[in-house]
Amino acid sequence: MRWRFSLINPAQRIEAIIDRASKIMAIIASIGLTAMMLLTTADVIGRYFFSKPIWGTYELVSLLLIFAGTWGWGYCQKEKGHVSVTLLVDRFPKRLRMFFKSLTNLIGFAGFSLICWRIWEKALHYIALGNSGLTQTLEIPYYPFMLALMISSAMMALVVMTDLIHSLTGLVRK
Amino acid sequence: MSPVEIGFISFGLLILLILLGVNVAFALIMIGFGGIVLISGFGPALTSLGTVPFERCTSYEISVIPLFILMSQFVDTGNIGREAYQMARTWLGQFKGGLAMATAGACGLFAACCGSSLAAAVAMGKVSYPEMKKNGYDDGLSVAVAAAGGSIGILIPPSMGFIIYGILTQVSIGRLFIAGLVPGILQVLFYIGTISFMCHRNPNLGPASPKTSIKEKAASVKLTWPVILLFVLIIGGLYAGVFTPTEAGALGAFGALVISLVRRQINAPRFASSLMSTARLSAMIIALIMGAFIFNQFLAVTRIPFIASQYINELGMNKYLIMFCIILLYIFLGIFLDIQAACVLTIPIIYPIIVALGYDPIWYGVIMVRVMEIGVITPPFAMNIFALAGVTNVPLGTIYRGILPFLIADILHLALLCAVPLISTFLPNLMIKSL
Repeated sequence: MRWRFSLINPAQRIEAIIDRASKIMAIIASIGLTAMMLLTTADVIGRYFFSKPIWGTYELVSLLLIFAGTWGWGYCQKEKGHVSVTLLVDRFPKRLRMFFKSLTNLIGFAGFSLICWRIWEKALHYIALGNSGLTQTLEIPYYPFMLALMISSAMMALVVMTDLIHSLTGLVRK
Repeated sequence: MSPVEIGFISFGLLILLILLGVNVAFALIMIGFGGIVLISGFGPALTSLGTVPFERCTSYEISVIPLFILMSQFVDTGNIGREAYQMARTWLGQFKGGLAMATAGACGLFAACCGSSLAAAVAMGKVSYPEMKKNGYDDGLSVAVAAAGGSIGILIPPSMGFIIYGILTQVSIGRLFIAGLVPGILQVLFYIGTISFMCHRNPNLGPASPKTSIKEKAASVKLTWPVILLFVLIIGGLYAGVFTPTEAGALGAFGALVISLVRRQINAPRFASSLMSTARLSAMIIALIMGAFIFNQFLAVTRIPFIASQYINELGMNKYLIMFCIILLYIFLGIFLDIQAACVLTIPIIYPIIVALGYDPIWYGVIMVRVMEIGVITPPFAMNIFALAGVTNVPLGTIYRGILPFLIADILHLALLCAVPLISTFLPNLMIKSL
């Protein structure tokens, strides 16, 4: 079966990899979500029933939000889950619709690429800071979480890029 | 160009792009970025693109969003909607139009665990419409009540509308939740009153079902009480200041999971799919909020929010007239934007005006959320109605006729909330402290 696989257009193969990666990231987001829920519940129960709160829960929950809230970005884009108003556009002819779709994807690609780049720069800055870039209570370094946010924005940018290529080919081809 | 001019042009461009179908979060990020570039230059703009997303995506306050979505998802995978309807039906079925009243009541119960209007309308419509059809209810009434009932979801906590309003304005989310409680219950009563009035005028709309005994009524509570208990626990905890909204969300999700596990309504694949939908929905809302904060930073640089509130004050217009205009604007926005997008787009400008006019921010939160929900059932572009027409195969025209009395009830309800702010504010004002 291997020879047949190699016949598939490499572009499609890259897309399949992006697809798979965005789904795996969403699964990691789910794990982050479960951790947030369990940690907070344990903290509340510990605080009121055993007067033993879990040290640094607020901080951990905030940091987990990076995973729970942003690692699903690419998956959400794949599933067409982001909010847009299609009331007007749905009434446009197909060509024009494709044009606006490409415009959306172009804007999204630019936005998330910029964010990705800036967070990367910020992470480098924090790595250079060494021991001063730590959270207040638990003294966890910030930079790994910046890298995590960078990865999720990169994934989002990649997924939007594949959408952009699709909408552009739709625009050019009749 | 002055910053104010740049601000207004960018805002116009933002609205135009959104109307042309550009993803709301994308448009907010890029226009916010472009605007800061024009006013303060590339350096500061690039810095905000690094700072704002990281700050917002590690904020304890915003962690409340995924947790409450998770709770709704767990509740949705179980049979809570059907059970709530069965209970309300046993209690109310004996009256004229009782099944329709039961739908409104069950929507209220369902809303106590679900933060989304469309989800509540569809879940309830699927359960209640076939029952009402079987009992000879009018099609227009049966679908309209589910569409309107769904909109209760956003007032009764937990509510995504309040969460986003609280995050953007720094108003306490716990207080907002408590504030929505009485208005939400009142809305259910208004709907029940409307149905009763209509069915007494025209008994063919909704015939009464056979009476049920007290025993049956008591038995019907058996299935629903754990969920009611969970709701009381969460809201009670928020009210007493025992825990933060984020903690309430985590406990709610955990409690809903335990209830479904005990009843064997959830298995591994369903658990996984609830988590995946939560990851998807949270990603959407977090991207929107991140975009909103980038755009807000730009608006702050233009000083438009400050200038707008100053302008309104100098105008010396009657403050009730301004409120009326704002309400009209929101009804209009609610027609084509969903509540999250509408909040994110308008709050940065409208909120300073409201504060400058001396209105209570908590009361205004309730009014804003309430008004936008009128938009989702106002013809011709009504999201709840579109969704339900798809689920039930009832023609749109029939539902439009059915929704009219509920719209009148909505307007009366809104007028009451506006006239007596105490309905929204007395509970939150009684709260001793809030975390």
